[in-house]
Amino acid sequence: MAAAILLERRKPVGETTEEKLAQIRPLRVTHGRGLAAEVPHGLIDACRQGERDAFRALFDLYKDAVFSIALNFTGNQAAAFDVSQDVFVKLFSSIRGLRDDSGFRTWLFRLVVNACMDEHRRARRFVSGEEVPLSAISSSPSPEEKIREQEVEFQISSAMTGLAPKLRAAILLRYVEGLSYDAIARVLGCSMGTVASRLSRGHKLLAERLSHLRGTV
Amino acid sequence: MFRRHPTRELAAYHHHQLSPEREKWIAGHLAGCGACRLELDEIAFAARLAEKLPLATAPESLYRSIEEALPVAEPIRSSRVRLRLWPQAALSLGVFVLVGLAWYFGFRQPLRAAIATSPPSALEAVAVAEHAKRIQGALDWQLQTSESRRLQQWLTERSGLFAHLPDKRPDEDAGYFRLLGVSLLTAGGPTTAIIGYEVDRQPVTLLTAKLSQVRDAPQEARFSKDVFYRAEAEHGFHVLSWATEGQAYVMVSSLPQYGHQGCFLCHTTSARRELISRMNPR
Repeated sequence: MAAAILLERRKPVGETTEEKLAQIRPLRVTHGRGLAAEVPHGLIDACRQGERDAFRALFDLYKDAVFSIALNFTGNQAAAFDVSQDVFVKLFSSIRGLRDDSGFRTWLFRLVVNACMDEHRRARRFVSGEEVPLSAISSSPSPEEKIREQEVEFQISSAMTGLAPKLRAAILLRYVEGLSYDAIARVLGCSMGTVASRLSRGHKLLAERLSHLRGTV
Repeated sequence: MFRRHPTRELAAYHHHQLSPEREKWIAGHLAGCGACRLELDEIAFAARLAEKLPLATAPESLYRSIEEALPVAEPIRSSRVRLRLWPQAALSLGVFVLVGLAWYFGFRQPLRAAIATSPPSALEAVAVAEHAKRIQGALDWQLQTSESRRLQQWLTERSGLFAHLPDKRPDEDAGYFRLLGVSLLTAGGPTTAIIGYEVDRQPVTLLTAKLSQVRDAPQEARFSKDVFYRAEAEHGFHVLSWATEGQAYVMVSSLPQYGHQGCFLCHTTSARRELISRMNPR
């Protein structure tokens, strides 16, 4: 289970990026989904000023969340890399246009979903390159239990990539990022009822395709 | 009895995302509906699977690739680079301001002309006297030269005064202007330069002294150049007085109108000359 680092800020926030970054310190580490911490106060402003250190800090906060969603959506490490790159380039290029800091996470995950959808359309048009199984992320030798877990993960990921993109996006935002239905609705630009419907349908399809795993999970 | 099955809401029920009233209603429905209980069980199973979706760590090379991709869309500037750019930005701004000031004072500075109503200043009196002496052939130049740069250098070295004499003149000036020489008056008053030249073969005498040393001369205006004209009674000379850049000037001649063509010795651009030509002292 990946760790999500929750951050807190101390006031007053310093003037320089270094000072701003120095104000941000890890508060506690929790285990659970929801990789992306709340963005610390002042960091977006520093990014708006074009400060490289702030960009790096923002990237470090969200890189794993973005990459995980992209990887589970595409099922392909190279495609996930491209999607993540696309997301951060767009983010850094247009962050000056973000008026409301509180809407940052919604905006970020909307970028992620849009980039994933674009990648899906591209992959449909062109023959994709060699797919890298998700289990190949870790190359270290594993014990038998670990191998079995990785096999289950691979089967879940494969079933995920077989879902319709809209269902996939809703499930990933819920389970990778731990977003509420309301937050998912804002990211996807639809009603909460639609989110509930997509999630119900997505769950049902996943259960059907992975029914052979009953008893093992 | 017909009942609508809450199939679409079962995931929301599982995740406790419904209102308490709706949740209570669905709980009641589930108690009596085996099909929905089965679906809820499917959802709970799928939820357990989805919780096992692998989380990945982004490769370190991702940031490098973003940095490489960014310059096309938006260059990333580090705070250190920004600090290094400050002197350049300040220099650029300085150059911009200087060019702007040069443009304003060289070409666009408003010119205001007026008839002098106050008694002639001491500098004017000296200028008229020196010009009259020169016409009588009684004035010798301490430096006799037609080279503006040499005259300027001589003047600055000996008095600290300067005159904006251009090195190159426009083609239309060929044979029209002739620089003759310069002398310094130092005895009994402010150090005063007397510059002699000809415009269309007519003598023009230009006197200049430090404004701080000439008490009764016209003062320098902040945003315009104020020129005062006086028709000198005894000889019929045209006398123009003004102050600029810390120096007081008096120009004496018998050139047509107000003698303003004498100003063209220093002012060589057509825009400025046109402005001077339209000068109409009142």
